[in-house]
Amino acid sequence: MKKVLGVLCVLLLVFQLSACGDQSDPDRIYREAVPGSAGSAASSEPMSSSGDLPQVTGVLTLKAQQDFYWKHWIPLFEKAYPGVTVQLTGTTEDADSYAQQTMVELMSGSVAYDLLELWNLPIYRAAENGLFEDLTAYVDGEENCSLDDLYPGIVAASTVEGQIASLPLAFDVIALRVNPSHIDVSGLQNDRVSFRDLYTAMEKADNFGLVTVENNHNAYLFFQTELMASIDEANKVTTVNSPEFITFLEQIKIIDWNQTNYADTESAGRADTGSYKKGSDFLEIDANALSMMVDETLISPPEALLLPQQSETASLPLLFTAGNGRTEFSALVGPVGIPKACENKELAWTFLRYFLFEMDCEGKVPYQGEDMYFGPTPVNRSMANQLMEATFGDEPALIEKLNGWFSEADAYSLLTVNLGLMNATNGVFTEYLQSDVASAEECARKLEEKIYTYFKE
Amino acid sequence: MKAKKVYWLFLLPSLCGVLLFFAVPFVFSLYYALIDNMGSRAFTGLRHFIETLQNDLFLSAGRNTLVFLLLSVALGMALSLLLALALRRLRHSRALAVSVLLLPMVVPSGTIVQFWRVLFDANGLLNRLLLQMGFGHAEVAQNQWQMGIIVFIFLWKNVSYNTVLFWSGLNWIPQNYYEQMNLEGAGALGRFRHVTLVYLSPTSFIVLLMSIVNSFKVFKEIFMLYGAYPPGNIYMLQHYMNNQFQSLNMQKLSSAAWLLFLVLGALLAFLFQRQKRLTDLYE
Repeated sequence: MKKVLGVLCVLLLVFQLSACGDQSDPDRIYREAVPGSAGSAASSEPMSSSGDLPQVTGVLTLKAQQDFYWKHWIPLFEKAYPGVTVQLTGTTEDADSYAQQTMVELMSGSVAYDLLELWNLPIYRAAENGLFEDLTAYVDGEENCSLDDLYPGIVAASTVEGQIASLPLAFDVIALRVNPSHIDVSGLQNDRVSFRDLYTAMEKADNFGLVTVENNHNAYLFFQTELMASIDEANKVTTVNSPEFITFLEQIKIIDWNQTNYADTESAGRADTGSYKKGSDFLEIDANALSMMVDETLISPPEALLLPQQSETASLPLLFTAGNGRTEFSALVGPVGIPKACENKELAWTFLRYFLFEMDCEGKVPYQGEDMYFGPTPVNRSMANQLMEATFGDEPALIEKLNGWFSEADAYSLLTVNLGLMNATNGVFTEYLQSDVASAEECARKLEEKIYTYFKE
Repeated sequence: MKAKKVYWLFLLPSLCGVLLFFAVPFVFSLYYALIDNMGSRAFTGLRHFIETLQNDLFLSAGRNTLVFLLLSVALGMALSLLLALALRRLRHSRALAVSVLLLPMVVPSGTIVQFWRVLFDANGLLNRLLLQMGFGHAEVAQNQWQMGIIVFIFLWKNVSYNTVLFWSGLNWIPQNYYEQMNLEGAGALGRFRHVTLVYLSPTSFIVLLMSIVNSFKVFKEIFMLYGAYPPGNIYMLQHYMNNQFQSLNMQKLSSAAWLLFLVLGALLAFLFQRQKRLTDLYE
């Protein structure tokens, strides 16, 4: 008896010390309880053709953290495929708990949805670990679809070990818009703007007595852009501990971000008594303000009053490039994959196929007043062209320029964006920004150490 | 025979919990460690175990964990015993002293980590003090004392509990043993060595086990203080496993957990065996 108890004590202690967890399956209960959800008996069946699209029926479940775009996109799909109902699940304000819960589901190999949006999740690692269907095979299986129809940077970045585990439905590109009357003063005359150009422009603005007014800028946006451009996850290398990055860190610390009237929401902007003042639609900019703003939605007409900026105070977009010259996406919007455990794969692919290859954008503009049709730039080149033609039809040069940018854009680094690494690196950056102790060199060294740890894991 | 059944009856609720929430999932994790990934589930043999053992970071994390374990357990036990001896000699306000000692156990980790952060953060009071003392910015920013800081946090949090255990053990040692040693002319060191240490050995064994267990539990505080990617010298096995989870790699996570299980199992089995031998010797 003593021996048995001894062995039990050892086992109990060791179990408590070793990592292991509950592998119960609440999702299966959900799947069985909700008719038509992923894995339930409902399936897609061919229906009589309506329009050009083959009609199917069924219920599709999509898990995404935010409904911001999906609440616009899902109705588009449901209109095109009236036999299909799409249930959006998992939306929450808490990105951390969303990521944790989703990772547990993926790791257990049992999911209660047909499609998963991978925003904020480790996309590259998920692909590496074979958790999603290879979309290449799905595209190849379609007569009228080709990966060549999509912007090459997106396809290249989404290809991990020869497979495509997820594809974004759209993307954003960071650009700047500058008050046209101050373009000469700012020196921001080129099509492409780096952080260094922006830094110089802010210095010049100060010399000319202008106030720098920004919309979406803050130190973290630039830090993340530069950091992501310095990480190559595919080859597990980083150039973060380089003289260029250290110079960037030194410059970004000199900027007094509190003086830039940063307002990330309308209400915050309205409450600001600096260079902003209340306008009839939103906010107006004082004449002495060098307005510079991040624009993440390039295919929006200048007259669209979506941003805290009157059209006459904003130039056409100037593309923001990372310090190493790469043209960065600001975000891959709606990177979606079909989990291997999905039991409704055909219908899930129908959903993806619609947004990647079938959606009709002829004559549509991304935004109409405050109504959004699609929002960010679709990854399909012809769809993006249709939206641009409807938006900037009288400016073919601009369409050509934008199309060129989108074709050159490089999304590789964005794959690394996941909460774990971002929180770790943001922490070091915050420590550096707030510190009168840490040097830029030390910050770069710490960042490099964390990134290499991430790679080595 | 009846007594045996009663033992098992008392053990049953705990056993059910252990089986359901630890043992069964842990056996499943062995399966996960032997397959390619959660998608294909192809059998890969010991590949993940070999890769884990060849991973520099895993080995470095193992070394750091071992260093922390040795430092924290040894220092923790020594300090606890000293405090327990002091407590035993305390004539007045013993209850107050015990209450003060137990205070760290009732303070929530989240709250106390904020306090540690104010002290030990890169911009914290300690670094500022070092700057005032004339250390250079570069030296202070390097801050290679993280291991010392986390050992300190471990001691602060766990010494009190161990002290109470030792104190309780000391109270069980019959006073006449000491009197006998006095009559035989033994000094303080002799009494300590031949009476206190000997009769405290069952308690010491419990304290040792609890210290090993608690040394793994300090990860929460390290994580809250330094995040998922701490400086290399305090990157522990728990960081490695936690980050494998964040990276959706069930296979590496499971293989690391099993390797840790085997090492800890061997260590604890060894300790139990030594304890049994010691007990038999005294009997």
